Amino acid sequence: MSRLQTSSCPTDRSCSALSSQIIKVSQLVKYYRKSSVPALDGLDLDVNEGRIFTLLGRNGAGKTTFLRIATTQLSPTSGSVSVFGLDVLKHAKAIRKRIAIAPQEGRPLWTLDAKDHVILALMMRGVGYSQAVDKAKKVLETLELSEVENVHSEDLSGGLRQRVLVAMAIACDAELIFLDEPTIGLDPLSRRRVWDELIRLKKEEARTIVLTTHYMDEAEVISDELAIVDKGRVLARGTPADVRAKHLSARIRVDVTKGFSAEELQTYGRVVHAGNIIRVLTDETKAQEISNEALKRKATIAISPVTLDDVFVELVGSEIDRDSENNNDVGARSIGER
Amino acid sequence: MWELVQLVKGELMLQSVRKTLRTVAALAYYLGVLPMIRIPTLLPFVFATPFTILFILFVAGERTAFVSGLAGAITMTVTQQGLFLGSDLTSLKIEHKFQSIVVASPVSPLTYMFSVAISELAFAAPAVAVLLAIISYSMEGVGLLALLQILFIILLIWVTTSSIGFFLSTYVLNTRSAFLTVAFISIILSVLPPVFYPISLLPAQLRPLAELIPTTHASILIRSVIGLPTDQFQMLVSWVALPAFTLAFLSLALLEARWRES
Repeated sequence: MSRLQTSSCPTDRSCSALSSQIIKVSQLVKYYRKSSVPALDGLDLDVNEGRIFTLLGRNGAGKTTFLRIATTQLSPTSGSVSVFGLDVLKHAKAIRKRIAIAPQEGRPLWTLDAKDHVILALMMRGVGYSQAVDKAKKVLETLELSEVENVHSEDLSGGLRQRVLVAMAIACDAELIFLDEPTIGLDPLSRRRVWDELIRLKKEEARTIVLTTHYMDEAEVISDELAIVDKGRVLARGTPADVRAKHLSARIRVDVTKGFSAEELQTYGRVVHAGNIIRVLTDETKAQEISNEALKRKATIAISPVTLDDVFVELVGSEIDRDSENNNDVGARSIGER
Repeated sequence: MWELVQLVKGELMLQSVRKTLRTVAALAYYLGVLPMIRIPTLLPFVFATPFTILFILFVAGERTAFVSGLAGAITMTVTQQGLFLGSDLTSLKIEHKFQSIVVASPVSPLTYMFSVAISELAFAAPAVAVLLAIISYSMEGVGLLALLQILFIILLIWVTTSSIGFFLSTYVLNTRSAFLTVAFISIILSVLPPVFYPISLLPAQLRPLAELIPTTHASILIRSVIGLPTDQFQMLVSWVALPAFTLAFLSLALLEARWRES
Protein backbone atom coordinates (compact mmCIF):
# COMPACT_ATOMS: atom_id res chain seq x y z
CA MET A 1 0.00 0.00 0.00
CA SER A 2 1.67 3.22 -1.05
CA ARG A 3 1.89 6.42 0.92
CA LEU A 4 -0.03 8.20 -1.83
CA GLN A 5 -2.92 5.79 -1.60
CA THR A 6 -3.34 6.04 2.11
CA SER A 7 -2.56 9.57 3.16
CA SER A 8 -6.06 10.70 2.28
CA CYS A 9 -7.68 8.71 5.08
CA PRO A 10 -5.62 9.20 8.22
CA THR A 11 -8.31 8.34 10.73
CA ASP A 12 -10.40 5.90 8.78
CA ARG A 13 -10.01 2.38 10.13
CA SER A 14 -11.20 1.00 6.82
CA CYS A 15 -7.91 2.12 5.30
CA SER A 16 -6.20 -0.88 6.82
CA ALA A 17 -8.91 -3.16 5.50
CA LEU A 18 -7.81 -2.41 1.95
CA SER A 19 -4.83 -4.61 2.54
CA SER A 20 -3.83 -7.27 5.00
CA GLN A 21 -0.46 -5.53 5.40
CA ILE A 22 -0.57 -3.70 8.69
CA ILE A 23 3.05 -2.53 8.53
CA LYS A 24 4.99 -1.80 5.38
CA VAL A 25 8.63 -0.83 5.55
CA SER A 26 10.57 0.27 2.53
CA GLN A 27 14.31 0.94 2.30
CA LEU A 28 14.44 2.14 5.89
CA VAL A 29 17.75 3.70 6.89
CA LYS A 30 18.67 5.09 10.28
CA TYR A 31 21.93 6.68 11.32
CA TYR A 32 22.20 7.83 14.92
CA ARG A 33 23.97 11.07 15.59
CA LYS A 34 27.76 10.80 15.73
CA SER A 35 27.66 7.32 14.21
CA SER A 36 28.88 6.48 10.75
CA VAL A 37 27.50 2.93 11.00
CA PRO A 38 23.83 2.64 10.11
CA ALA A 39 21.53 1.08 12.71
CA LEU A 40 19.17 0.26 9.84
CA ASP A 41 20.57 -0.16 6.38
CA GLY A 42 17.78 -0.40 3.81
CA LEU A 43 15.37 -2.53 5.82
CA ASP A 44 12.36 -3.89 3.91
CA LEU A 45 9.53 -5.59 5.75
CA ASP A 46 5.83 -6.35 5.56
CA VAL A 47 3.77 -7.42 8.54
CA ASN A 48 0.38 -8.94 7.90
CA GLU A 49 -2.68 -8.21 9.98
CA GLY A 50 -3.73 -10.64 12.71
CA ARG A 51 -0.33 -12.37 12.85
CA ILE A 52 2.49 -12.72 15.29
CA PHE A 53 5.56 -11.35 13.58
CA THR A 54 8.98 -11.80 15.12
CA LEU A 55 12.19 -9.92 14.47
CA LEU A 56 15.15 -12.09 15.30
CA GLY A 57 18.61 -10.71 15.59
CA ARG A 58 21.73 -10.24 17.65
CA ASN A 59 22.26 -7.27 19.95
CA GLY A 60 22.61 -4.14 17.84
CA ALA A 61 21.01 -5.76 14.79
CA GLY A 62 18.52 -2.87 14.56
CA LYS A 63 15.43 -4.55 16.03
CA THR A 64 14.72 -1.91 18.68
CA THR A 65 15.51 0.93 16.29
CA PHE A 66 12.90 -0.43 13.88
CA LEU A 67 10.34 -0.77 16.68
CA ARG A 68 10.97 2.78 17.84
CA ILE A 69 10.47 4.14 14.33
CA ALA A 70 7.33 2.08 13.75
CA THR A 71 5.88 3.24 17.08
CA THR A 72 6.49 6.90 16.13
CA GLN A 73 9.15 7.46 18.76
CA LEU A 74 12.10 7.96 16.45
CA SER A 75 12.54 9.58 13.04
CA PRO A 76 14.19 7.59 10.28
CA THR A 77 17.08 9.01 8.26
CA SER A 78 15.44 7.87 5.01
CA GLY A 79 12.98 5.34 3.69
CA SER A 80 9.35 4.95 4.66
CA VAL A 81 7.27 3.11 7.21
CA SER A 82 3.52 2.91 7.10
CA VAL A 83 1.42 1.48 9.90
CA PHE A 84 -2.27 0.77 9.18
CA GLY A 85 -1.45 2.25 5.79
CA LEU A 86 -0.53 5.56 7.41
CA ASP A 87 2.87 7.18 7.15
CA VAL A 88 4.56 7.23 10.58
CA LEU A 89 5.88 10.72 10.05
CA LYS A 90 2.72 12.32 8.68
CA HIS A 91 0.03 10.52 10.66
CA ALA A 92 1.70 9.72 13.98
CA LYS A 93 -1.32 10.89 15.99
CA ALA A 94 -3.72 8.54 14.21
CA ILE A 95 -1.31 5.62 14.54
CA ARG A 96 -0.69 6.21 18.25
CA LYS A 97 -4.38 5.69 19.03
CA ARG A 98 -4.19 2.13 17.75
CA ILE A 99 -0.86 0.82 19.05
CA ALA A 100 0.78 -0.13 22.35
CA ILE A 101 4.33 -1.03 23.29
CA ALA A 102 6.26 -2.84 26.00
CA PRO A 103 9.72 -1.28 25.69
CA GLN A 104 12.98 -3.12 26.09
CA GLU A 105 14.56 -2.94 29.54
CA GLY A 106 11.79 -0.75 30.87
CA ARG A 107 11.60 -0.48 34.62
CA PRO A 108 8.26 -0.24 36.36
CA LEU A 109 7.77 2.76 38.65
CA TRP A 110 9.11 1.94 42.09
CA THR A 111 6.27 3.33 44.19
CA LEU A 112 3.55 1.55 42.25
CA ASP A 113 2.49 -2.08 42.49
CA ALA A 114 1.70 -4.42 39.60
CA LYS A 115 -2.02 -3.62 39.63
CA ASP A 116 -1.40 0.16 39.69
CA HIS A 117 0.71 -0.14 36.56
CA VAL A 118 -1.97 -1.86 34.54
CA ILE A 119 -4.70 0.48 35.81
CA LEU A 120 -2.50 3.46 34.91
CA ALA A 121 -1.87 2.07 31.41
CA LEU A 122 -5.61 1.69 30.87
CA MET A 123 -6.75 4.98 32.41
CA MET A 124 -4.07 6.80 30.46
CA ARG A 125 -6.00 5.70 27.37
CA GLY A 126 -9.26 7.01 28.77
CA VAL A 127 -10.67 3.82 30.33
CA GLY A 128 -12.79 4.46 33.45
CA TYR A 129 -11.45 3.43 36.87
CA SER A 130 -13.78 0.52 37.66
CA GLN A 131 -13.44 -0.90 34.15
CA ALA A 132 -9.66 -0.53 34.42
CA VAL A 133 -9.61 -2.36 37.75
CA ASP A 134 -11.61 -5.30 36.32
CA LYS A 135 -9.42 -5.52 33.23
CA ALA A 136 -6.23 -5.25 35.28
CA LYS A 137 -7.33 -8.16 37.47
CA LYS A 138 -7.99 -10.34 34.43
CA VAL A 139 -4.70 -9.54 32.74
CA LEU A 140 -2.69 -10.02 35.92
CA GLU A 141 -4.39 -13.36 36.44
CA THR A 142 -3.61 -14.41 32.88
CA LEU A 143 0.07 -13.60 33.29
CA GLU A 144 0.11 -15.21 36.75
CA LEU A 145 0.78 -11.92 38.49
CA SER A 146 -2.25 -11.97 40.80
CA GLU A 147 -0.21 -13.09 43.78
CA VAL A 148 2.04 -10.05 43.48
CA GLU A 149 -0.56 -7.52 42.33
CA ASN A 150 -0.13 -5.46 45.50
CA VAL A 151 3.64 -5.77 45.72
CA HIS A 152 5.60 -2.60 44.91
CA SER A 153 7.65 -2.99 41.77
CA GLU A 154 10.89 -2.31 43.66
CA ASP A 155 10.26 -5.59 45.51
CA LEU A 156 9.55 -7.61 42.36
CA SER A 157 12.12 -9.82 40.66
CA GLY A 158 13.40 -8.87 37.20
CA GLY A 159 11.17 -11.43 35.52
CA LEU A 160 8.05 -10.24 37.32
CA ARG A 161 8.84 -6.63 36.42
CA GLN A 162 9.15 -7.64 32.81
CA ARG A 163 5.76 -9.33 32.97
CA VAL A 164 4.23 -6.18 34.45
CA LEU A 165 5.39 -4.24 31.37
CA VAL A 166 3.92 -6.88 29.09
CA ALA A 167 0.66 -6.73 31.08
CA MET A 168 0.52 -2.94 30.57
CA ALA A 169 0.84 -3.35 26.81
CA ILE A 170 -1.63 -6.19 26.31
CA ALA A 171 -4.26 -4.87 28.72
CA CYS A 172 -5.27 -2.02 26.44
CA ASP A 173 -7.32 -2.65 23.34
CA ALA A 174 -4.62 -1.64 20.83
CA GLU A 175 -4.96 -3.40 17.49
CA LEU A 176 -1.22 -3.60 17.06
CA ILE A 177 1.06 -4.47 19.96
CA PHE A 178 4.83 -4.07 19.87
CA LEU A 179 6.82 -6.07 22.39
CA ASP A 180 10.56 -5.46 22.57
CA GLU A 181 12.13 -8.62 23.98
CA PRO A 182 9.11 -9.35 26.15
CA THR A 183 10.37 -12.58 27.67
CA ILE A 184 13.91 -11.57 28.48
CA GLY A 185 14.80 -12.69 32.00
CA LEU A 186 11.69 -14.84 32.34
CA ASP A 187 11.83 -18.42 33.57
CA PRO A 188 10.73 -21.13 31.08
CA LEU A 189 7.25 -21.51 32.59
CA SER A 190 6.58 -17.78 32.62
CA ARG A 191 7.78 -17.54 29.02
CA ARG A 192 5.26 -20.18 28.04
CA ARG A 193 2.53 -18.29 29.89
CA VAL A 194 3.35 -15.15 27.90
CA TRP A 195 3.44 -17.13 24.63
CA ASP A 196 0.02 -18.65 25.38
CA GLU A 197 -1.44 -15.22 26.04
CA LEU A 198 0.03 -13.74 22.87
CA ILE A 199 -1.38 -16.60 20.82
CA ARG A 200 -4.76 -16.15 22.51
CA LEU A 201 -4.74 -12.40 21.75
CA LYS A 202 -4.06 -13.18 18.12
CA LYS A 203 -6.67 -15.93 17.79
CA GLU A 204 -9.49 -14.61 19.95
CA GLU A 205 -9.04 -10.86 19.62
CA ALA A 206 -7.49 -10.71 16.15
CA ARG A 207 -4.65 -8.55 17.36
CA THR A 208 -1.40 -8.18 15.48
CA ILE A 209 1.74 -8.63 17.53
CA VAL A 210 5.23 -7.58 16.54
CA LEU A 211 7.95 -8.76 18.86
CA THR A 212 11.69 -8.87 18.97
CA THR A 213 13.67 -11.64 20.55
CA HIS A 214 17.01 -13.38 20.77
CA TYR A 215 15.32 -16.66 21.58
CA MET A 216 15.09 -18.94 18.56
CA ASP A 217 12.72 -21.37 20.27
CA GLU A 218 10.38 -18.49 21.03
CA ALA A 219 10.38 -17.35 17.42
CA GLU A 220 9.84 -20.90 16.25
CA VAL A 221 6.95 -21.61 18.61
CA ILE A 222 4.85 -18.47 18.37
CA SER A 223 5.66 -16.72 15.10
CA ASP A 224 3.44 -16.90 12.08
CA GLU A 225 6.13 -15.00 10.23
CA LEU A 226 9.58 -13.84 11.14
CA ALA A 227 12.54 -11.92 9.83
CA ILE A 228 16.17 -12.49 10.70
CA VAL A 229 17.88 -9.14 10.90
CA ASP A 230 21.55 -8.35 11.06
CA LYS A 231 23.34 -5.02 10.75
CA GLY A 232 20.06 -3.31 9.93
CA ARG A 233 19.21 -5.56 7.00
CA VAL A 234 16.82 -8.45 6.58
CA LEU A 235 18.73 -11.66 5.91
CA ALA A 236 15.73 -13.97 5.77
CA ARG A 237 11.98 -13.74 6.14
CA GLY A 238 8.89 -15.90 5.91
CA THR A 239 7.24 -18.52 8.09
CA PRO A 240 9.63 -20.40 10.38
CA ALA A 241 9.30 -23.47 8.12
CA ASP A 242 9.92 -21.41 4.98
CA VAL A 243 13.00 -19.79 6.46
CA ARG A 244 14.37 -23.16 7.54
CA ALA A 245 13.74 -24.72 4.15
CA LYS A 246 14.97 -21.79 2.11
CA HIS A 247 18.14 -20.94 3.94
CA LEU A 248 19.39 -24.32 5.11
CA SER A 249 19.86 -27.27 2.78
CA ALA A 250 20.39 -29.63 5.72
CA ARG A 251 17.29 -31.09 7.34
CA ILE A 252 18.82 -32.96 10.24
CA ARG A 253 21.27 -32.01 12.93
CA VAL A 254 23.41 -34.50 14.78
CA ASP A 255 24.91 -33.41 18.07
CA VAL A 256 28.05 -35.31 19.01
CA THR A 257 29.68 -34.96 22.42
CA LYS A 258 32.57 -37.46 22.09
CA GLY A 259 33.89 -40.34 20.04
CA PHE A 260 34.36 -38.34 16.81
CA SER A 261 36.74 -35.64 15.73
CA ALA A 262 35.53 -32.54 13.92
CA GLU A 263 37.63 -33.43 10.90
CA GLU A 264 35.96 -36.84 10.60
CA LEU A 265 32.52 -35.34 10.91
CA GLN A 266 33.16 -32.87 8.13
CA THR A 267 32.77 -35.77 5.68
CA TYR A 268 29.11 -36.10 6.75
CA GLY A 269 28.05 -32.47 6.45
CA ARG A 270 28.62 -28.95 7.69
CA VAL A 271 30.19 -28.92 11.16
CA VAL A 272 29.38 -26.25 13.71
CA HIS A 273 30.89 -26.00 17.18
CA ALA A 274 28.30 -25.33 19.86
CA GLY A 275 30.03 -25.26 23.23
CA ASN A 276 31.12 -28.81 24.10
CA ILE A 277 29.01 -30.19 21.29
CA ILE A 278 30.08 -30.73 17.70
CA ARG A 279 26.99 -30.25 15.57
CA VAL A 280 26.70 -31.75 12.09
CA LEU A 281 24.08 -30.31 9.75
CA THR A 282 23.26 -32.96 7.23
CA ASP A 283 20.55 -35.09 5.58
CA GLU A 284 18.74 -38.22 6.75
CA THR A 285 21.10 -40.69 5.01
CA LYS A 286 24.27 -39.16 6.42
CA ALA A 287 22.66 -38.91 9.85
CA GLN A 288 21.94 -42.65 9.66
CA GLU A 289 25.59 -43.27 8.77
CA ILE A 290 26.79 -41.26 11.78
CA SER A 291 24.33 -43.14 13.94
CA ASN A 292 25.66 -46.53 12.75
CA GLU A 293 29.23 -45.41 13.33
CA ALA A 294 28.33 -44.12 16.79
CA LEU A 295 26.83 -47.49 17.69
CA LYS A 296 30.06 -49.20 16.73
CA ARG A 297 32.12 -46.75 18.75
CA LYS A 298 29.62 -46.66 21.63
CA ALA A 299 29.51 -42.88 21.29
CA THR A 300 26.52 -40.79 22.35
CA ILE A 301 24.81 -38.69 19.73
CA ALA A 302 21.49 -36.83 19.49
CA ILE A 303 19.58 -36.54 16.23
CA SER A 304 16.90 -33.91 15.66
CA PRO A 305 15.46 -31.79 12.87
CA VAL A 306 17.25 -28.51 12.16
CA THR A 307 15.89 -25.48 14.00
CA LEU A 308 15.87 -21.74 13.49
CA ASP A 309 18.92 -21.68 15.69
CA ASP A 310 20.84 -23.49 12.96
CA VAL A 311 19.50 -21.15 10.28
CA PHE A 312 20.44 -18.15 12.40
CA VAL A 313 23.99 -19.40 12.98
CA GLU A 314 24.29 -20.21 9.30
CA LEU A 315 23.01 -16.83 8.10
CA VAL A 316 24.48 -14.49 10.68
CA GLY A 317 27.66 -16.54 10.96
CA SER A 318 28.29 -16.31 7.23
CA GLU A 319 27.64 -12.53 7.41
CA ILE A 320 30.31 -12.28 10.08
CA ASP A 321 32.68 -14.44 8.01
CA ARG A 322 32.04 -12.27 4.95
CA ASP A 323 32.67 -9.10 6.95
CA SER A 324 35.91 -10.36 8.39
CA GLU A 325 37.03 -11.41 4.89
CA ASN A 326 36.18 -7.93 3.60
CA ASN A 327 38.01 -6.34 6.50
CA ASN A 328 41.04 -8.49 5.80
CA ASP A 329 40.90 -7.43 2.15
CA VAL A 330 40.67 -3.78 3.15
CA GLY A 331 43.48 -4.24 5.64
CA ALA A 332 45.66 -5.93 3.04
CA ARG A 333 44.89 -3.22 0.53
CA SER A 334 45.67 -0.49 3.00
CA ILE A 335 48.98 -2.03 3.89
CA GLY A 336 49.73 -2.42 0.18
CA GLU A 337 48.81 1.21 -0.46
CA ARG A 338 51.01 2.40 2.33
CA MET B 1 -30.51 16.35 10.53
CA TRP B 2 -28.14 19.27 11.14
CA GLU B 3 -29.10 19.24 14.79
CA LEU B 4 -28.37 15.53 15.01
CA VAL B 5 -24.91 16.07 13.52
CA GLN B 6 -24.26 18.83 16.03
CA LEU B 7 -25.47 16.58 18.85
CA VAL B 8 -23.15 13.75 17.78
CA LYS B 9 -20.28 16.21 17.41
CA GLY B 10 -20.96 17.58 20.88
CA GLU B 11 -21.14 14.07 22.36
CA LEU B 12 -17.85 13.10 20.70
CA MET B 13 -16.19 16.23 22.01
CA LEU B 14 -17.52 15.52 25.49
CA GLN B 15 -16.18 11.98 25.32
CA SER B 16 -12.81 13.26 24.20
CA VAL B 17 -12.70 15.78 27.07
CA ARG B 18 -13.72 13.06 29.52
CA LYS B 19 -10.95 10.78 28.23
CA THR B 20 -8.35 13.54 28.49
CA LEU B 21 -9.43 14.34 32.04
CA ARG B 22 -9.11 10.65 32.95
CA THR B 23 -5.63 10.61 31.48
CA VAL B 24 -4.61 13.70 33.43
CA ALA B 25 -6.15 12.38 36.66
CA ALA B 26 -4.53 8.95 36.28
CA LEU B 27 -1.06 10.27 35.51
CA ALA B 28 -1.18 12.93 38.23
CA TYR B 29 -2.50 10.48 40.82
CA TYR B 30 -0.21 7.55 40.07
CA LEU B 31 2.94 9.60 39.47
CA GLY B 32 2.47 12.25 42.16
CA VAL B 33 -0.26 11.83 44.73
CA LEU B 34 0.11 8.10 45.35
CA PRO B 35 3.91 8.16 45.78
CA MET B 36 3.48 11.10 48.19
CA ILE B 37 0.93 9.14 50.25
CA ARG B 38 3.00 5.96 50.17
CA ILE B 39 6.33 7.62 50.92
CA PRO B 40 5.62 10.78 52.92
CA THR B 41 9.30 10.96 53.90
CA LEU B 42 9.90 12.49 50.45
CA LEU B 43 8.09 15.68 51.50
CA PRO B 44 10.85 17.24 53.65
CA PHE B 45 13.01 17.48 50.51
CA VAL B 46 10.48 19.91 49.03
CA PHE B 47 10.47 21.98 52.21
CA ALA B 48 14.22 21.93 52.80
CA THR B 49 15.74 24.75 50.72
CA PRO B 50 12.99 27.43 50.80
CA PHE B 51 12.34 26.96 54.51
CA THR B 52 16.07 27.02 55.33
CA ILE B 53 16.47 30.38 53.58
CA LEU B 54 13.32 31.60 55.31
CA PHE B 55 14.69 30.46 58.67
CA ILE B 56 17.94 32.39 58.07
CA LEU B 57 15.93 35.50 57.20
CA PHE B 58 13.80 34.99 60.32
CA VAL B 59 16.82 34.66 62.60
CA ALA B 60 19.21 37.14 61.02
CA GLY B 61 16.94 39.65 59.28
CA GLU B 62 14.27 42.10 60.27
CA ARG B 63 10.56 41.35 60.04
CA THR B 64 10.38 42.95 56.55
CA ALA B 65 13.10 40.62 55.32
CA PHE B 66 11.20 37.63 56.68
CA VAL B 67 7.89 38.71 55.10
CA SER B 68 9.64 39.43 51.84
CA GLY B 69 11.19 36.00 52.19
CA LEU B 70 7.74 34.42 52.40
CA ALA B 71 7.05 35.56 48.82
CA GLY B 72 10.45 34.17 47.86
CA ALA B 73 9.77 30.85 49.57
CA ILE B 74 6.48 30.38 47.71
CA THR B 75 8.14 31.29 44.40
CA MET B 76 11.07 28.99 45.07
CA THR B 77 8.91 26.02 46.14
CA VAL B 78 6.81 26.19 42.99
CA THR B 79 9.83 26.90 40.76
CA GLN B 80 11.72 23.95 42.20
CA GLN B 81 8.83 21.57 41.62
CA GLY B 82 8.20 22.92 38.13
CA LEU B 83 11.83 22.36 37.22
CA PHE B 84 11.87 18.93 38.86
CA LEU B 85 9.46 18.00 36.11
CA GLY B 86 12.53 18.07 33.85
CA SER B 87 14.55 15.60 35.90
CA ASP B 88 11.58 13.38 36.67
CA LEU B 89 10.54 13.22 33.02
CA THR B 90 14.12 12.41 32.06
CA SER B 91 14.15 9.60 34.57
CA LEU B 92 10.75 8.36 33.31
CA LYS B 93 12.09 8.49 29.78
CA ILE B 94 15.55 7.01 30.19
CA GLU B 95 15.41 4.72 33.21
CA HIS B 96 11.81 3.56 33.19
CA LYS B 97 11.16 3.85 29.43
CA PHE B 98 7.76 5.12 30.51
CA GLN B 99 7.82 7.87 27.89
CA SER B 100 8.07 5.15 25.20
CA ILE B 101 4.80 3.74 26.48
CA VAL B 102 3.25 7.22 26.50
CA VAL B 103 4.48 8.27 23.05
CA ALA B 104 3.10 5.03 21.56
CA SER B 105 -0.35 5.84 22.96
CA PRO B 106 -3.07 8.43 22.31
CA VAL B 107 -1.67 10.70 25.08
CA SER B 108 -0.50 14.01 23.60
CA PRO B 109 2.72 15.73 24.73
CA LEU B 110 0.67 18.59 26.20
CA THR B 111 -1.50 16.22 28.25
CA TYR B 112 1.55 14.29 29.44
CA MET B 113 3.40 17.46 30.41
CA PHE B 114 0.48 18.88 32.38
CA SER B 115 -0.34 15.58 34.04
CA VAL B 116 3.17 15.06 35.33
CA ALA B 117 3.43 18.77 36.19
CA ILE B 118 0.29 18.39 38.33
CA SER B 119 1.90 15.42 40.04
CA GLU B 120 4.89 17.65 40.85
CA LEU B 121 2.56 20.36 42.15
CA ALA B 122 0.98 17.79 44.45
CA PHE B 123 4.37 17.48 46.14
CA ALA B 124 4.66 21.27 46.45
CA ALA B 125 1.13 21.70 47.80
CA PRO B 126 1.83 20.99 51.51
CA ALA B 127 4.76 23.43 51.57
CA VAL B 128 2.74 26.10 49.77
CA ALA B 129 -0.18 25.55 52.15
CA VAL B 130 2.11 26.05 55.17
CA LEU B 131 3.54 29.25 53.63
CA LEU B 132 0.07 30.61 52.85
CA ALA B 133 -0.99 29.83 56.42
CA ILE B 134 2.02 31.75 57.76
CA ILE B 135 1.17 34.69 55.46
CA SER B 136 -2.48 34.70 56.59
CA TYR B 137 -1.39 34.55 60.21
CA SER B 138 1.39 37.13 60.09
CA MET B 139 0.03 39.67 57.59
CA GLU B 140 -3.00 41.75 58.39
CA GLY B 141 -5.45 42.33 55.60
CA VAL B 142 -4.56 39.27 53.57
CA GLY B 143 -8.00 37.98 52.71
CA LEU B 144 -9.50 35.51 50.29
CA LEU B 145 -8.99 37.79 47.30
CA ALA B 146 -5.29 38.15 48.06
CA LEU B 147 -4.95 34.37 48.46
CA LEU B 148 -6.69 33.83 45.13
CA GLN B 149 -4.31 36.31 43.51
CA ILE B 150 -1.35 34.44 44.99
CA LEU B 151 -2.75 31.17 43.67
CA PHE B 152 -3.02 32.74 40.21
CA ILE B 153 0.62 33.86 40.39
CA ILE B 154 1.59 30.36 41.55
CA LEU B 155 -0.26 28.93 38.54
CA LEU B 156 1.68 31.19 36.16
CA ILE B 157 5.07 30.40 37.64
CA TRP B 158 4.22 26.68 37.73
CA VAL B 159 3.30 26.66 34.02
CA THR B 160 6.46 28.64 33.20
CA THR B 161 8.89 26.43 35.09
CA SER B 162 7.11 23.21 34.12
CA SER B 163 7.47 24.23 30.49
CA ILE B 164 11.19 24.81 31.01
CA GLY B 165 11.42 21.42 32.72
CA PHE B 166 9.53 19.63 29.93
CA PHE B 167 11.60 21.31 27.24
CA LEU B 168 14.82 20.25 28.98
CA SER B 169 13.68 16.68 29.47
CA THR B 170 13.22 16.14 25.76
CA TYR B 171 16.82 17.16 25.05
CA VAL B 172 18.83 15.92 28.03
CA LEU B 173 20.33 12.51 27.34
CA ASN B 174 20.93 11.17 30.83
CA THR B 175 19.45 11.43 34.29
CA ARG B 176 22.58 12.78 35.94
CA SER B 177 22.80 15.71 33.51
CA ALA B 178 19.10 16.35 34.05
CA PHE B 179 19.44 16.60 37.84
CA LEU B 180 22.51 18.85 37.60
CA THR B 181 20.91 21.08 34.96
CA VAL B 182 17.74 21.42 37.00
CA ALA B 183 19.71 22.24 40.17
CA PHE B 184 21.67 24.90 38.27
CA ILE B 185 18.59 26.50 36.69
CA SER B 186 16.86 26.42 40.06
CA ILE B 187 19.65 28.59 41.50
CA ILE B 188 19.50 30.94 38.50
CA LEU B 189 15.73 31.29 38.87
CA SER B 190 15.17 31.36 42.58
CA VAL B 191 18.32 32.15 44.57
CA LEU B 192 20.29 34.74 42.60
CA PRO B 193 17.51 37.04 41.32
CA PRO B 194 15.39 39.24 43.58
CA VAL B 195 13.09 36.47 44.73
CA PHE B 196 13.86 36.45 48.46
CA TYR B 197 14.79 40.15 48.51
CA PRO B 198 13.30 43.28 46.86
CA ILE B 199 14.59 44.28 43.44
CA SER B 200 15.42 47.72 44.86
CA LEU B 201 18.32 46.16 46.78
CA LEU B 202 20.05 45.22 43.53
CA PRO B 203 22.60 47.61 42.01
CA ALA B 204 20.86 49.66 39.31
CA GLN B 205 22.88 48.14 36.46
CA LEU B 206 21.79 44.61 37.40
CA ARG B 207 18.07 45.37 37.59
CA PRO B 208 17.37 45.06 33.84
CA LEU B 209 18.94 41.62 34.00
CA ALA B 210 16.68 40.64 36.89
CA GLU B 211 13.66 41.83 34.92
CA LEU B 212 14.44 39.14 32.36
CA ILE B 213 13.83 36.42 34.92
CA PRO B 214 10.18 35.34 35.34
CA THR B 215 10.55 34.47 39.02
CA THR B 216 11.55 38.07 39.79
CA HIS B 217 8.10 39.16 38.65
CA ALA B 218 6.32 36.36 40.52
CA SER B 219 7.99 37.38 43.74
CA ILE B 220 7.31 41.11 43.17
CA LEU B 221 3.64 40.36 42.58
CA ILE B 222 3.24 38.14 45.65
CA ARG B 223 4.97 40.80 47.74
CA SER B 224 2.57 43.47 46.49
CA VAL B 225 -0.44 41.22 47.06
CA ILE B 226 0.49 40.54 50.69
CA GLY B 227 0.81 44.26 51.31
CA LEU B 228 4.51 45.02 51.11
CA PRO B 229 5.30 48.41 49.56
CA THR B 230 5.83 48.00 45.79
CA ASP B 231 6.48 50.51 43.05
CA GLN B 232 3.22 50.82 41.08
CA PHE B 233 4.93 50.96 37.70
CA GLN B 234 7.06 47.93 38.58
CA MET B 235 3.92 46.06 39.62
CA LEU B 236 2.28 46.89 36.30
CA VAL B 237 5.38 45.68 34.43
CA SER B 238 5.34 42.44 36.42
CA TRP B 239 1.65 41.79 35.75
CA VAL B 240 2.42 42.04 32.03
CA ALA B 241 5.80 40.30 32.11
CA LEU B 242 4.88 37.19 34.07
CA PRO B 243 1.99 36.05 31.82
CA ALA B 244 4.13 36.93 28.79
CA PHE B 245 6.96 34.73 30.08
CA THR B 246 4.44 31.96 30.79
CA LEU B 247 3.10 32.12 27.26
CA ALA B 248 6.59 32.23 25.76
CA PHE B 249 7.94 29.24 27.70
CA LEU B 250 4.76 27.24 27.14
CA SER B 251 5.08 27.86 23.40
CA LEU B 252 8.73 26.86 23.55
CA ALA B 253 7.82 23.62 25.30
CA LEU B 254 5.05 22.75 22.89
CA LEU B 255 6.70 23.83 19.66
CA GLU B 256 10.35 23.04 20.22
CA ALA B 257 10.30 20.06 22.58
CA ARG B 258 11.23 16.81 20.87
CA TRP B 259 8.44 14.31 21.43
CA ARG B 260 9.75 12.10 18.66
CA GLU B 261 13.49 11.69 18.85
CA SER B 262 15.64 12.35 15.85
